Amino acid sequence: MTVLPHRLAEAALGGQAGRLIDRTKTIRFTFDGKTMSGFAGDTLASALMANGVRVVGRSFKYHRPRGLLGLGSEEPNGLVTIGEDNRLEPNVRATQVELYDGLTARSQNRWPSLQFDVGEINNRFSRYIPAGFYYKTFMHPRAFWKHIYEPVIRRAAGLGPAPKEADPDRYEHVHIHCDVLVVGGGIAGLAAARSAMEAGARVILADENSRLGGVSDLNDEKIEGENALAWISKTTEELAASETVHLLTRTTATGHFDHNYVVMCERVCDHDPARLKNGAPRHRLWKVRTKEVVLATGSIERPIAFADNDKPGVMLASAVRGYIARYAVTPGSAAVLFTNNDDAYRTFTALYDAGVTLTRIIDSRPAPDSILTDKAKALGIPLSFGSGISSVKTEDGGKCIAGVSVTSLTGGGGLNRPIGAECDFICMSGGFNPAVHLFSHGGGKLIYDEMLQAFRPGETRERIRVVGAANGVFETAKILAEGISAGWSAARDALPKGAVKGRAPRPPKADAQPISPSEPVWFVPAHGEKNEGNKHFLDFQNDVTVADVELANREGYRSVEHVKRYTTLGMATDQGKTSNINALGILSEALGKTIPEIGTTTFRPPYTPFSFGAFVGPVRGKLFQPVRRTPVQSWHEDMGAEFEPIGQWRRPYCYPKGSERRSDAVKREVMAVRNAAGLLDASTLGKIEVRGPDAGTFLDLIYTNTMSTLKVGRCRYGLMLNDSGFLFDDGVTVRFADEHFLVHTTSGNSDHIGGWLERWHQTEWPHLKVFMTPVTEQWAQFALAGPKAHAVLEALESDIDFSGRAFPFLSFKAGRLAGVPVRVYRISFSGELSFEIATPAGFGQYLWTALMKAGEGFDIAPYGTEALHVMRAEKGFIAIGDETDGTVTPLDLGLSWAVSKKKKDFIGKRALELPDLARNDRRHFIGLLTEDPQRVLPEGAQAVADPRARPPHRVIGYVSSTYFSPTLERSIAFGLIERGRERMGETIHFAVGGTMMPAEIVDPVFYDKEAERQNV
Amino acid sequence: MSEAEWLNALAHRTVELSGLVLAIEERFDVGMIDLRILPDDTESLAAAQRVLGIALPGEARTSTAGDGFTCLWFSVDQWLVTCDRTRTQEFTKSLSKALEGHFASVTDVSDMRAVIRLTGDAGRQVLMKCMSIDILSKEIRPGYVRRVNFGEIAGALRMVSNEPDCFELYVFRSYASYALDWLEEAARESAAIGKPFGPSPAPPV
Repeated sequence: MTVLPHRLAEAALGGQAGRLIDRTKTIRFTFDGKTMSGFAGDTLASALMANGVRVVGRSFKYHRPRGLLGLGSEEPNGLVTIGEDNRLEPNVRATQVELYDGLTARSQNRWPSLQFDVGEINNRFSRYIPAGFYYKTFMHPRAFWKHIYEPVIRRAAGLGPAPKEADPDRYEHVHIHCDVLVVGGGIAGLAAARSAMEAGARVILADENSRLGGVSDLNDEKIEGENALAWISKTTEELAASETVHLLTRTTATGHFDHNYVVMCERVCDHDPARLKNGAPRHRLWKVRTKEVVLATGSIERPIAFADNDKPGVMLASAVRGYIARYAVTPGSAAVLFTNNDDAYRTFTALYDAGVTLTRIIDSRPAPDSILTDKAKALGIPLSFGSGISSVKTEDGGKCIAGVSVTSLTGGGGLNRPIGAECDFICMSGGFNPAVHLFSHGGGKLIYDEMLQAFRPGETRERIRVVGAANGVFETAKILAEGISAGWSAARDALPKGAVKGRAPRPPKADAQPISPSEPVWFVPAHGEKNEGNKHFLDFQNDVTVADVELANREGYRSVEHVKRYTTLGMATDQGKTSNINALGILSEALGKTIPEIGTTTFRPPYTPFSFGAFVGPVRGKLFQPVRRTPVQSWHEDMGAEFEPIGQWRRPYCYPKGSERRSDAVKREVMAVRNAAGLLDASTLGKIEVRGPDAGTFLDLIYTNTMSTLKVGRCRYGLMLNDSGFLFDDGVTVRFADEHFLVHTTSGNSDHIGGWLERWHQTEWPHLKVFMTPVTEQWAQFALAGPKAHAVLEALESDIDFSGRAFPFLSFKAGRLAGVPVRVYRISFSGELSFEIATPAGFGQYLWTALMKAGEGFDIAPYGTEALHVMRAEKGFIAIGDETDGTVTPLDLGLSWAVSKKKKDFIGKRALELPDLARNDRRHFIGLLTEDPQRVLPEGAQAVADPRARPPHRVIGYVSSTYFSPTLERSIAFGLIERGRERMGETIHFAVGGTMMPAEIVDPVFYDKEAERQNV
Repeated sequence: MSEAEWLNALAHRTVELSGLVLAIEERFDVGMIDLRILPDDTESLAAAQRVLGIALPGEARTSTAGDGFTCLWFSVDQWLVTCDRTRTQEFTKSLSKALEGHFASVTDVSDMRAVIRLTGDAGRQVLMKCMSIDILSKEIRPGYVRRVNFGEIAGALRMVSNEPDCFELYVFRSYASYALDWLEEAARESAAIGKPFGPSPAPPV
């Protein structure tokens, strides 16, 4: 095929048509598996049009065949799936896809094919599936919804498929700041950017298209005596050459958030996927923080609600003009034009100049009068004023337009005899809506402009200016003046006072075309025998018609927000870009209220959908979450440790040997500690140094027990409550010197406790002279535990006397061990003789290896967190997060010995006196022994008050920790049980998998009740 | 017994970095001392200055550098003093001695953070992908210090010098590997963003 059916000849329009395409470069692509060709510079939409493709997709609900409606991001119909396999992306607007060699595109929501679709039967029965149909019909029986109705509806309705494989491409986020952000690179935006630049501001200008200039190339206007494009080129070059301007194309400002934080998505490689192979990011999310925003987002043309206005070939008038001027394509060979405004006459000119037959211009206004209308009159084009399209004749099963009927709208009631007009496409224009979306994101209020019959920006609390068509200004000269003035004043407000001197530059001269006012046309009555089957579409993407909105009104939906949700109007991926105002017009007539009285629904980000990849950015794979490494992490990995997440750490859970099972590894590790020696990496423990003359006083307020009485060189276990009296952290505090303490926190809580101490110091007790320095990361810390711990230490060179007499339980010594500086604490969480040894992190790996080597002859084994937990449970020690859940007091846990009765105050003291916390029927911490010693209670199992009662049971508590104890060779557990301490010896029952599991309430210390082992 | 070996935070990362727009290296010759003095305690400030030979910076987001010491402003009453790693204990002692009897805190934190140095004129462009601050601001010149959110972790940034731009990133030791992963991703040549606000080819119209 050499000449494509709808591509204009190169000589058309005096060689002016198709200014963006390069006819010397043919591009091959496929659509629904069929190979087609276009030119470099084409969009997928223009290339499809050139290939004579009329139907580009099927509609969401009725599966009606749909063609292109628009030219850019407003396109509701031309949604396609681009790419294949792991690079498949659904719901992309064909109008925004730049053509490249090898592009594969597929139409959506059709089966088995675009031309013949089974789902189109929905259209035949459409009169039975109006708005709210799902809600009314699929009510009974209840269970059917989940299993039958919803799956079927989901399959029938919908858009493109989601990719099934992981996205292979990369995405990134970039933070950037500026003085003035200009959104939109049409003449308004260019003028604003240039004037802000001249005022000395740092300016970012972003446009969603691949080129700047907006739609000025379609309006045949002159700036400073030249074609508008010449001025656009010159201005673009000036901006690009500047040291203070950053230009971004293919970049959509998707959302405006508080304090002028604007998120923009740049499509870096979509037009040139070859770059992906080198690792270039496919999309880049710009996170812009700007002092001032200038919105120059232009306007969106409105369709007109006439019968069958969704037939393939019914297009927006300005879009048709754009396809001719930019890509030298037309949707057909004979057109009618239906408008309520003068702008559409520019399309008539374009069609006329391109040699396309225009069979009739239909203008809803009774007597339009301007230069543009005069031209049509002069050229003898058949004109129907005060008229509308009352029906559309189609061929080929509704896929081709054959003609229209035109009826007078001014007949005062019934329809007049229609006039027929033959055509194969229709250009329509119902006026223009300012693109106010970004303005609304930040809470900007909209005002209804009667002249425009549209909403335009009103008040906002954000520092935003709106210019040009986005502000409802459509004359070139006024647009330029507004842009320049806004750019200058934005720069002046953004920069320090007095930095911008002088006055704004003079706006360039532009010829103003007098334009006669447009008149609203919300609805055009249908005409024809099967009148009632005709549909007047408002929302093309969600298949919402005028009748649906009227039905919603008849059924009592008065609020526009309710009508929106009931009919789904404006809720598709295009957020009602083309439908919003028309629907309000219909609602206004139905309710007998004015549009400002009805108001409008809220626009929300994103302006156009953007990829999940861009949203995620680099935060995937190994960057999905920060993972912390202890100084010995590599050793653990080399030993094949199994890890468990504790906060952002990955701690060894156990170290299986060869094919050893996890449970066997845990048993072996426990027995190693109980019988010989074990080494645990406890580097993750939180460590905070607390210094100053008031350090003791401060810690007395933080902990429930008294730290100020601690002797230098000694350690004390302490509890921290929150201000509600609930236990939330515990650990050992060490006193290094009179005014120098070290606080140990749990691993997961260390950052939180650091902040907690600062908060209380800074907000409640700033008079206390105390400094806190978190040093968690400074120290590698290991627990060497077991009866042979002494022997292991004695095998290493040290200036510390580790003997029991010189180094008693709960004391501290600093010195050197194996040639490195250490702090050693004699504390025990396992119940065995135990030393916690800290050394600067850089020596961690060395010291660990030295200890393991020294322990070789004593059967030392590294042990993980699970062995640690089994041993602490054997010893009756609680663990924060297991025995606490934010509702547990130290008294519940039987830890009242650690709660000072003498201290005047500490955090949580007053709360503990609350009647609810002092209740005697609270749940108590107790030990549990199952009747069958080999059965382990499931964690979280619920204890019932009466096992013989019929469910639902009254629950009296639950299992908080549960293990198989290798030391005792039986199962052990902890529970929090109502009045537990009063029930020692009682057997209670846990509901486990439909049966009751009995267990005896016992003292929680299962092993070495006399605590002799730690003093071996 | 073998000689005590000190390992840097990124010792386990042996892979050579390539295809990046700047040079990334870990500095492990830096000793670090956390110093706390109240800002209105002129006597203590003077005592510290006598040891360091330089004043502690009083202005936010700045640092002072002298003979063998750099003092980074961390908050109104906190500084990070950096020095030759081999002499940290000596300086910790002399600072502690000079501040004896004063309300102050001197803590050797040399092993707490990893220092990653970024050298190359694309430094700011890479950091734009790592943190939300206005890294292109003229305020950010040699000596500038700022505590930042780097990726998803806490960090501190210091601009060391320019021509070429050189930044140092201070992150907690356990996160050093994550920080390097993030930097490797951000600094890929294939993802270079070029000079923002610089002259650039004009986009088509």
